[in-house]
Amino acid sequence: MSVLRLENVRKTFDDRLEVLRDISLTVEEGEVVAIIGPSGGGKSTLLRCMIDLEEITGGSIYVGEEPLVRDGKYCGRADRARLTSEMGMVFQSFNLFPHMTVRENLIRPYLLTNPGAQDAESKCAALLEKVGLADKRDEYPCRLSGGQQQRVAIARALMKDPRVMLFDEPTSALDPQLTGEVLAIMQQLAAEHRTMVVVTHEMSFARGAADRILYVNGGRIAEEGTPQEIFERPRTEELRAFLGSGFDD
Amino acid sequence: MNLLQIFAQVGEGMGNSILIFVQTLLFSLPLGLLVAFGRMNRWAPLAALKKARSPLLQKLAGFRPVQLIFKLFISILRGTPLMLQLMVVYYGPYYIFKIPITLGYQFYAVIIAFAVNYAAYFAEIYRSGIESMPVGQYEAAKVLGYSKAETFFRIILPQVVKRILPAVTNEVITLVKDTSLAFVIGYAELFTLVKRIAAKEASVLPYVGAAIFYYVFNLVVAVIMEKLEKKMSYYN
Repeated sequence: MSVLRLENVRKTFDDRLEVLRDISLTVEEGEVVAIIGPSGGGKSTLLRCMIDLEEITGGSIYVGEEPLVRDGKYCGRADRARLTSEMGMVFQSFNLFPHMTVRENLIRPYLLTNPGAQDAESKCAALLEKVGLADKRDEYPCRLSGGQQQRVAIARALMKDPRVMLFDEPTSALDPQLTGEVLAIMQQLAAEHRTMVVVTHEMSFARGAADRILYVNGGRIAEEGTPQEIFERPRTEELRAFLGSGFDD
Repeated sequence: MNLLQIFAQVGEGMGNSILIFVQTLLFSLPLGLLVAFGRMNRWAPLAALKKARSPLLQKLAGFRPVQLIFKLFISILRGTPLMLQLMVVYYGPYYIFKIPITLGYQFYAVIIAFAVNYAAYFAEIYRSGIESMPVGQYEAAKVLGYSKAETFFRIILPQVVKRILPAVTNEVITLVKDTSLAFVIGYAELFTLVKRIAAKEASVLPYVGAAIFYYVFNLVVAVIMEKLEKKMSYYN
């Protein structure tokens, strides 16, 4: 069953600049999709459109079977918020709430959307255990390293058990020695068959953890395939050039 | 006449000065937030003109009437003396509408003038704080299911308060001293009474007493604000 379906999605800025042109893709339940491509090629915009942080100009987006946008027309405000909150998002710059402890970062948003939920504390404890930060429960984010903050952000997004997790270059803001701990968590999620869409520059992650890779450039999906197809038998010259440009490990 | 006798005589004035201070803060702090919202309002009724051919019409697309009104409001209140604003509020109703001024109106005039004037300053402080918040905080709140109002009151405002506290402290300290401006309409706060005694006794000692009062008042304010800042420093 598809979790997320995009049909002929287009997006233009100020009626001129075309950032996305005619993108169609389907994310199946349990699938890990990696989106790679050069900066400015539209991959982050594509991800942000999926969770309604950017509005599309034309096309359709379905979450499960429900339309978030149909032929460029968004659904009503309440449905829009509900469909969006069925997805989880991890940002490049973590975006934890600095005035809340790690525990509050997980629990408060959860209780807001699930008032009176009894399982908040136990979920929080289990997820912090999972990302290896149980001992940081009562710390404020400023006391954590970037890698730890990003792990908290992943746990926070997992609290509501989203249908799909979207990652927007989750390791790009981290020091090189801290990317490993975040990628390890993501690999674990992938191994558990959590549905994920990951925009990344980490080719080793895309190669090792993704079921399918989309190469996005110039606002369209220029090439698509399994990690093997993409890395070992790239069909287009531009993908070969991209993979050879130092991103390859 | 010694200092103690002077303080004994102006006790009521000190109370009134403190009353102006407290009431002004009580009204201007929330009012400032509303003014800040008006100042940040982006309603542009002519936005459709952006696609117009003529450059003049295109310019009109950026016309934001609400924002403009509040900009003007803030500009006037910050650009003219508070003393003058106070006189306008107090004498205005009589000179413009021939409404007789009662003595009871004095205090209200002081609070209206002070609260509106300080709201303009606070509005700009709020605005700078709100606009300094990274967009990522709004985006994180949105994907976690916060509504716009919930985002503002639970995520943005708590952080803004911490950021703007030093700037607010500045204004609050200025306000302590500004309460003395109420003398211009003869309201019986400390400075008004001190002036009377000084004239009667032909002595500067009452002024020394006033200086001590304002200084100690501000010392207390500074200590309280420092405590508040410390309390907010549980995160960076």
